[in-house]
Amino acid sequence: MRRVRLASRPRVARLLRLVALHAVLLAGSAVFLLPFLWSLSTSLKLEREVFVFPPELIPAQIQWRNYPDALTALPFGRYTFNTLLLAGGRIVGIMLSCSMVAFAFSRLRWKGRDALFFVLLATLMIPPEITLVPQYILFSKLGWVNTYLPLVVPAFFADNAFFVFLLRQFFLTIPRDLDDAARIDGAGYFEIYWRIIMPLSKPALVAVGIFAFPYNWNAFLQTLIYLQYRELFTVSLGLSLFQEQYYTSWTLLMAASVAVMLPVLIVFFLLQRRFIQGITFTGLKG
Amino acid sequence: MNFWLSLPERRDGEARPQIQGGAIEVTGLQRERGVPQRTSRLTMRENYAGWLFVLPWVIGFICFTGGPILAAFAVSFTDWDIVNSPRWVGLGNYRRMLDDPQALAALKVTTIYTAVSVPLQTALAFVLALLLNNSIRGVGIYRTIFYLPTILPVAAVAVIWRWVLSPQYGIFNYLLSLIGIGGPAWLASTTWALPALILMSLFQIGGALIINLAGLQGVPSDLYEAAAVDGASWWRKHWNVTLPMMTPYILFQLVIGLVAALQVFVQPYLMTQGGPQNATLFFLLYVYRNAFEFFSMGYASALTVVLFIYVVLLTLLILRSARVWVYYEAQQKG
Amino acid sequence: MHQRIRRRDFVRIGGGAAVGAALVANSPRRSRAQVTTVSYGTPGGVDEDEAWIPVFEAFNESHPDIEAVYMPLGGGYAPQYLQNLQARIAGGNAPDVFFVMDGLVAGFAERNVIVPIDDYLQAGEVQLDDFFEAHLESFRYEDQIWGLPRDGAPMALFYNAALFDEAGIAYPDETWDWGIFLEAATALTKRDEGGRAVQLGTGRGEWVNWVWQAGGDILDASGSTCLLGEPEAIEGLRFAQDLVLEHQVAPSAEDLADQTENDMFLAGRLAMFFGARGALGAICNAEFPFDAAIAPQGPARRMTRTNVGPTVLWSGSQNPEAAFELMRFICSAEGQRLKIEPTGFAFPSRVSSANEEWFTEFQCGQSAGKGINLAFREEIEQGWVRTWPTHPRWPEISTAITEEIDALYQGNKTPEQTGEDAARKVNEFLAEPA
Repeated sequence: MRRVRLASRPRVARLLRLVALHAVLLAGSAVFLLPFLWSLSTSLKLEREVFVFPPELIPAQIQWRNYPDALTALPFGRYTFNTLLLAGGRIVGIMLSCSMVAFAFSRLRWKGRDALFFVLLATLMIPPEITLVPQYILFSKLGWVNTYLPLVVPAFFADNAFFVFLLRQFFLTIPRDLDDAARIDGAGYFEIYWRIIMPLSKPALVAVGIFAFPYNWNAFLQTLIYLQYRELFTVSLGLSLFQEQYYTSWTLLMAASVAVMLPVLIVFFLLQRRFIQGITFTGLKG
Repeated sequence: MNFWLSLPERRDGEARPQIQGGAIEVTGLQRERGVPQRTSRLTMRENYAGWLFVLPWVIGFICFTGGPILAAFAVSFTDWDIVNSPRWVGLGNYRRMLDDPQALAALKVTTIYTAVSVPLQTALAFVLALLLNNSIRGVGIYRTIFYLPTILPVAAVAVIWRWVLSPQYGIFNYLLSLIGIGGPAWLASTTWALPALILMSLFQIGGALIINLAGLQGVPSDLYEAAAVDGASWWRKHWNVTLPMMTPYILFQLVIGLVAALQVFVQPYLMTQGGPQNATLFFLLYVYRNAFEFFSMGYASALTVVLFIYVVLLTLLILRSARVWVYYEAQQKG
Repeated sequence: MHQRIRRRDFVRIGGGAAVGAALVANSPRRSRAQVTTVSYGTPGGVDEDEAWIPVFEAFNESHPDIEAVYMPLGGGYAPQYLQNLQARIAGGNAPDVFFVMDGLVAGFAERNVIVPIDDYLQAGEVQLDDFFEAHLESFRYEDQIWGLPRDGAPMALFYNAALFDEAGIAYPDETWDWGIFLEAATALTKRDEGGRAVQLGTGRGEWVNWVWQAGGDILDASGSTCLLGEPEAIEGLRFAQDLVLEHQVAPSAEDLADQTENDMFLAGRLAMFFGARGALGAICNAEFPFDAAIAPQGPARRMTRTNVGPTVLWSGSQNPEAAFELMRFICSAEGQRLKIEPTGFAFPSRVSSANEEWFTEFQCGQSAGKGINLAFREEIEQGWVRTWPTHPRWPEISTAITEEIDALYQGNKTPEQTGEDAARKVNEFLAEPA
C-alpha cells in the first residue's frame, strides 16, 4: 500500500497547513456550537435571568441544580428506559428487515424487482403528515393504540425506505464473485445473505445505526399519537411537558434537553471513529 | 463504503470493474448488462428467493403503509373533516387548487427554499467532509460538534434560534456588524425570513457529512498519487480527483435533500407560523393547516398528491441530468 | 454448519422475542370493568398534571360509581395537541371530555364531534348564572350550549410600577381613555441615539380590542356579514397601527423578533402590556413591583377579549351521562378551586369563585396590589369583555384576517385597505356553503 509521499513537502508548509486547518475548523465549530451553547447557558440560569436584555451568555450564578430539578420533575429515568427500548427495538427490526429487503433488491434477480423498487423509492416522497390519520385509524382498529406495537412492529417489516435504499446501494458494491463462489459451494440464499453479505456490511450497518438512533431518540409526533399513558412516554415527549398552558419553564426545559442529548452525542462520538476505520476495508486498493 | 463505485478485487489481486451502481440502477429503470447465462431452474429458484426476501417489505407495505397511502389518495377526491365520513367531490379539490393563490404562493416559497438550500447544504457538507477527512488531533470532537445541531430537541430549537437571529443582539447580526454590515430583521422581515430559514438549514448537514466522510474513504489513493506526481495543488487535487469521484454521493444527497426540503414543515411552524405575511408559508405548512385547523383533510390530501407529483418530477429531472455530470469509475458506453 | 446457523439464529430470535415481550409487558393494564370509566383530555404539563390530581381524587371520592381518568395528551399547548386529538377522534379513541381551543368549539359543534349539553344541564339542574355570561357566549351555537368553561381570563393591563414611579406617572385606573393612555405610553418610551427602543411604553394589545373599543366589530349580529370595513372598525385599526408606526410606543416587528412582549415586560423594557391572567405564570418572576388595571376606555366603549378554556363532550363517548358529571365537576366552583388555588394563575370561570378569598387575596412574587385579581374580575363582571365570534369556520377566517393585520402592522397597508380587504375575504368565506 503506497501512500502519497508527504515527506517530500517542506515541513514548514505542512505545519502552516495544519494550523490553518485547525483555525478554520475551530471557527466553524464555534459557529455550529452556538445554538447548543445558548441552550446550555439557559439551562444554568435562574428563571428570571432568561429574559434579561441584552441576553447574557454566562449566567451570573450557575444553577447546577436545574439539572437534577428538571430530571426529577418528570420520571426521566423511566422515559430513558422507554426510549432505549423503543429505539433499540426499532433498530433491531430495521437492521434485520431492511437488510433482507435490500439484499433482494441488489443481489437477486426476480420478476417485478425493478417495479417494486420504484414503488419503494416513491414512498420516500410521500409526506408523513398525510398518512398520519389513516394509519392511526388502522392501528386503532387493530387495538394497538396505547402500546408500543404501532411503533416497533412496522420496523420489522422494513418500514423505512431510506435505509433499504442505503443498504441496497452498499450491497451493490460487494463483488458478485463472492456470491457465485458460495453458490458453487452449495450455499443457500439465506446463507449468502447471513454469512457473507452481512458481515461485509458492517460499515453500512453502522451508518444505519448512526442515522437511526438519534432519529428514534428524538421522534415526536408518531410516538405522541400512539402513546397516551404517561408511563409509556419517551424522553422527547417528556420534554414537551415543560410547556404549560400559559408559560414554559425555560430553564428546566433546556436542562432536560441538554441532558437528553448527551447519550446521542456519546453514541455518535464512539461510532464515528469505528465507522471511518471500518470502511477502509471493503474492496479498496490502497 | 462505495455507493456507486465499486473496485472489487478478486482474490488474486486483479481488479475487475463491474457495471454496478449508477443513476440508472438507482431507479432500476434499465436492465443490467452482462448477465451470465443461467439455467432456468436456478432462475426460478432465485425468483423464489427474491420474493421471499422482499416479503417483509411487501407485507409491511400491504398492512401498514399501502392502505393509508391509498386512503390518503382516495381522500383527495373527497371532502373530509376527519371526524365524519368523507363526501365524494371528484376533482373538486383539484379545481379549487387552481383558484387558490395561497397554494401557488406556498409552492413558490417551498421551491425557492429548496432551490437555494439544497445546493448550499450539499456544497457545505462536501467542503466540511474534505476538512474533516483526516486524523488530526481532535477530529472526532470536531465531527461531533458539526453533527450536534441535528440532534437538538425540537422543543428547544425555536427559542434558541430566535436568540441567534435576534435583530439587535443576535449572534448573526453581531458577526455581520464586525464586518461592517447592519444585519436585517431576519424572522420579522418579509424579505429575510425565508433566508433566515435557509441559514438555519445549513446547520443540519450532519447526516450528509457522515455520508461524505464515508464516501471519501472510497476514493482510490492511486489517483491522488498520480495527481501529486503531476504537481497538483490542494485545490486542483480536489477539483479534479475528489469531486468527480464523489459525484455519485453528491447525487444521492441531492435527491434525498430535495425530497426532504420539499417536505419541510416543523421549523416554519414553530418559528414563524408561515409569516410574516406568508413569506414563509411552506407548502406542507399550508397542507397541515387545511388538514388539522380548517377541517379540510380532503383538500389537504389533494395538495399532497400535487406535491408528490412535483417531487417525483423534480427527482427524475435531477436523475436525468446526472448522466451528464455524474462520473462512474467503470464507464461502459462504448 | 447448518446447526451453527440455527443456534445463532435462535439466540437472536429469542432475544428479539424477549424484547417484544418486554414491550408488550410495558403496556399498562386495563382498568376494572365494574365501574364506568370516563376520561378527561387536556395537553397537560409538569405543573398542570400536578394541579389536576386533587380534582380527580375529589371527584372519584364523591362519585363511587364513576372512575375518572386524567388523560393528558402531551405535546404541550402546541400544534400537536390538535393533531393528536383529531387523530384520536377519527380513530374512535378520544377522551370522553376534553379541552379544545376556544375558536374551534363552533367548528366541532357543526361537525358533530361534540354534543350539546342542554339536556344534561336541565336533568342535572345545573345553574348557569354562576358562570360568566361572556364565557358562556362562546359555547352558544345555533341556540344550544355546547360546553362549559373550566377557566378563562379577560385581558387586562399589566404594568411595571417601578417604571411608572420613575417617570412620575400615576398608575392606570378607570379614568384612562385612549388619550391618557397614549400620553402615558409616550412618556414611558425611551429610545437610544440610533432610534432603537431601550424602553417601550406599551405592548400592542390585541387588534380586536381596539376595534371593539372604537365601536366596530368583526361580524354583525347574525354572523353573516363582516364589519371590518366599517368606519368604526377602521378607526380601531388605525389606532392599533399608530401605536406602532406613528407614535412608536409599541414594539415593532423587529422589536418583537428580539423578545416577545411577555419577555420584554419581564426584562423591564416594557412599561405596560395587555395580557391574560395566566401570564402571571411567567410574570410572577419579575424583579420589580407590578400590578394590573382594567383596560383603558375607547371612544365608544370599554371592551377587551377574554380567553376561555372550553370543556366539551365527545359525541363518541360511551358514557355521556357519566362524562357530563365529570365535566360538571371540573367546571364547578369546587373543582376550579382545587385546580387553580395551588398555582393561582388561571382565572376561574365562576362568579362565586372570583369572589372568594383564595382568589382575591392571591399574591405572588413582587405583585404590588390586588389588581392582578380584581382588574380581571371587574372587566368580566361589568361585561366589558367578549370572545371571538362563534363560527364553524373561525380558524380560516382568523387566518385570513391575521394576514391583513400583519400587513397593517408592517405598514404595507392603510387601515382602510386592511379593513376592506379583510372584510372582503371574510365575506367570501361566509358566502360559501358550509
